[in-house]
Amino acid sequence: MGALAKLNERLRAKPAAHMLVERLSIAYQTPRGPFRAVDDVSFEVAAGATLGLVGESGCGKSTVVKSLMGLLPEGTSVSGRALLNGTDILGLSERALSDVRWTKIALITQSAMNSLDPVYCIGDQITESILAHERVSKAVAWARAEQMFEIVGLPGSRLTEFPHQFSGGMRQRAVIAMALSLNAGLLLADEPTTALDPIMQDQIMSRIRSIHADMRRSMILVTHDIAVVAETCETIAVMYAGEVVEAGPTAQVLQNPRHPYTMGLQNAFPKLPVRGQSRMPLISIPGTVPNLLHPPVGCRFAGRCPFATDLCRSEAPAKLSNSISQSAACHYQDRASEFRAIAQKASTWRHKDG
Amino acid sequence: MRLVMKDSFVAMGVAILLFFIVIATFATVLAPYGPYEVMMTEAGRLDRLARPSFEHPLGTTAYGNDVLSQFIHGSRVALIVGLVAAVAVGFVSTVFGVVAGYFGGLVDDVLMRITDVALSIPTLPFAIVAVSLLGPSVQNIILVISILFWRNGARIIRSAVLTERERIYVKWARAAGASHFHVILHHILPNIVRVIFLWITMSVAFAILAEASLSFLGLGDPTVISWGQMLNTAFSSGSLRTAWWWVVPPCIALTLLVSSLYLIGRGFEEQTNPRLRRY
Amino acid sequence: MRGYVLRRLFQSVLVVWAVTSIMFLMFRVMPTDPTAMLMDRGMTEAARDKLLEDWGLTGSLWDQYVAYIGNLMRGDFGNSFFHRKPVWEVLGPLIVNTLWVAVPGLLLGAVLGSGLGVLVGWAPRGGKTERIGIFLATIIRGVPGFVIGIALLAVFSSALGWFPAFGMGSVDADQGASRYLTLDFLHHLALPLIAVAIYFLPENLLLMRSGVVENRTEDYVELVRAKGVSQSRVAWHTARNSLLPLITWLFPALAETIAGIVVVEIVFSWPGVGRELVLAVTRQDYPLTQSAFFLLAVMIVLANLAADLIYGKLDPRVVYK
Repeated sequence: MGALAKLNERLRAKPAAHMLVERLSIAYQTPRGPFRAVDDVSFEVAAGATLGLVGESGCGKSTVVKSLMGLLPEGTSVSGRALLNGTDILGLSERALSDVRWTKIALITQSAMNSLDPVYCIGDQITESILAHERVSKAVAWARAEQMFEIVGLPGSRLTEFPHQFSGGMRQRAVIAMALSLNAGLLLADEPTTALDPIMQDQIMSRIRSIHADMRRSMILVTHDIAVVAETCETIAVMYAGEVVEAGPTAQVLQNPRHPYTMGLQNAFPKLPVRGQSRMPLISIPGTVPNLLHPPVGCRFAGRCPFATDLCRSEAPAKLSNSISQSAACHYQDRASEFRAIAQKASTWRHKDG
Repeated sequence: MRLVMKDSFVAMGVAILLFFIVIATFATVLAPYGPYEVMMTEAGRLDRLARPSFEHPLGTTAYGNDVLSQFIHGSRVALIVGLVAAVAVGFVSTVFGVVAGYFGGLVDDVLMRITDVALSIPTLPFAIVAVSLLGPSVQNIILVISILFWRNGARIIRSAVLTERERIYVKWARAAGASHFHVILHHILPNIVRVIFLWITMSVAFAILAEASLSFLGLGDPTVISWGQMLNTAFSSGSLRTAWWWVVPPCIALTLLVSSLYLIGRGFEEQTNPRLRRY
Repeated sequence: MRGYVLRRLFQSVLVVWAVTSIMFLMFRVMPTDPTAMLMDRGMTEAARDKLLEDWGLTGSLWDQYVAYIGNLMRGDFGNSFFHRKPVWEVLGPLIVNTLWVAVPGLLLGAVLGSGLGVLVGWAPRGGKTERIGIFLATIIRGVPGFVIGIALLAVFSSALGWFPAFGMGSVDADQGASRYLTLDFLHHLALPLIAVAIYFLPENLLLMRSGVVENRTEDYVELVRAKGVSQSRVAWHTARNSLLPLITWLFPALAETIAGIVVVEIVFSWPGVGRELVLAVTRQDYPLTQSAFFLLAVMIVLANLAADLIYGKLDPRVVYK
């Protein structure tokens, strides 16, 4: 058996990972005090499953991803646990991290535009990740990179080209190919399509879905696009201002959201028109995300929530402890169906303006 | 001033610079003897190469001059050459850079080709030849330094102007009928003043180094004492390896003075370049 | 690519032409009489006229200029007044000597400087390593070249006696080309070479450090780190990217860096082109002065040309037109 076949065999044998995040809190150090980017977040990704982490930009979803890769800036305080197949990977040393990074968790980065080193050819950058962890020759690593390129639909001959010679979509594919190179048990896809035009977004997402179907890796998909989650993920966790406000099986959560924020978020995305029904207008949530240097005492969404009461403003609802069954961090979950009806109307959200 | 308070390196640089400015200003009061005054021993012989003592805190030279006095007077040449040349360099660089950057096109092309040629002239060799042909005097040294160092500044200021020129308000000002002169004076210059100031600071350092090198090579103004010249005399009289009291002070003074300017310039650079700022 | 090289070569020739013309004007317009020194030595009027004619110093400025350029093109740099032999014969061996000090010295300074620059660049922002590194580099940058030389002499030659103080070899040393391969030569070379390296090091350190600091927060560095490669490999990526601005900055600075080499040659009495230039100036050896200056200018133009081509090799984004 050739060296490449052996390598492929070895990598194929890797099991999909199980990831359990418990009470994860992250605070960046700034000159004006700690910035609580992530507060008491818990979720779980079953082996081979996909979790969608959704929320507006700045809600802390990318910070969660960075913490799992050990990529937070020095001096950032992290608490809680992130159990990868039962082993906590938070707070590992750089040396210990090198056994986790790419072999167990791989990353599909947010902006493929700048994610590739401009002075190395793509092939070198992919083989670099293989050679860092597998004792194979450069030629074998290159052959593996060619196979990965094939999977993402790029001709292997273009491995010798440099990032500036690739279009945005091709660069994103190259980044995906790189993430697949060691068949890591868990893939973190951090807004993999944000920088692309809608058609390219679709192509890349269906590529990711088919790869997921083929390889059955566990995946955390970070996005602000709730429609992408609906199409791709078994489980969803909705984040707002550093907290998970609602989580559970995707279909359940999206059909019967229990948190007003999830309801609002759904409204903000275009739905395909259904024949015979009037078109749904796009509704955006008015107001701004609270400043996480000084988070409010009560529910963090209270300032923008059309249903907020004094209770919401004075007392924070209980945090979610898992993402397996549907749950929401809201005082009035029992009135969710009533809220849902009201939330459909554009006027509900408009009066919060000004 | 805020910059000075925030950055201890800049504060240190400013302190050293002020120290030398004070010494240079009050040189005649501070120096115990004239720079070329010849010292005699009590026996009536030339007091040459005397070790540091109470009368001569830094000893004497091979020609019986008081080292401390020469050292104090030497600060004057360094600062005068540094400041005058830097102002001249700053002026020429700014004119060149602003004209090339603001007008662009053919003007820019021609001016930049001239700069390219100027950039290929080896500085010190040119200075050596030019000063020897013109005759070694402080004025000529300043002139030659000014001729040499405008070129780098012209480039830096030109690229700063290029960025400014593209700003919306500059285009509006032009569209609103403001003259080129008005736009340059009111919209361009105020925004590149930091860059110009940084360049002048660096030019003071370059000028001091150039003067010191020329003097060290024996091409300094023979009528006034400078630190480079002290070292030249020590070197040519073969005392470099023995009379440490004669050699060490000008070496340290030059290093401190030039470094102080670099420290100040560095602080400015870190502040001006947003990518180097910490927050 | 070939077209680009040819065009750059042509530009370099133009620059050399411009520099020589400036030099020509400088020497002719100046009030100094180039033959003054020879007259002092009791040369007859007739001999002087003959010499002026040999040198193309008769006729109008334009005629002189044409003769001057013609001589240069033929590689005829004339005779040294002092050495009384063709300038080329005087300078030829000195070029080799200068390169012996300059090339390894500058390379050593660049490699050490940028290596330390990467370390300082990756040190925690605002931490001790960063502050000490920047401070020392800025101070050392302020040390004039001759002071570095004097300090090295004082410590390693006078006090410790490890290295010889001057010259390129012992008196009885072999004078042929093989002399460059002797231990004696290397012994003499050590101090001037180290002086040039120290002189060149801080600028490299500071520039590399700025580059690394700017690069370490880039997205691509995050992905490289995520790949789980060694920390040195991550640092290498930032260094490799910072090399590009380093090159665009440093090569134009070579014109200034030559100053350090000239004074180092003087301090260590190293028989190179820079030292010969200073000696020729003090001896009013006018053809030799002119040629030494010309040589140094050509070296800088060539170095700049090399920088451009190296840059193109290092940055895949550069397209040659």
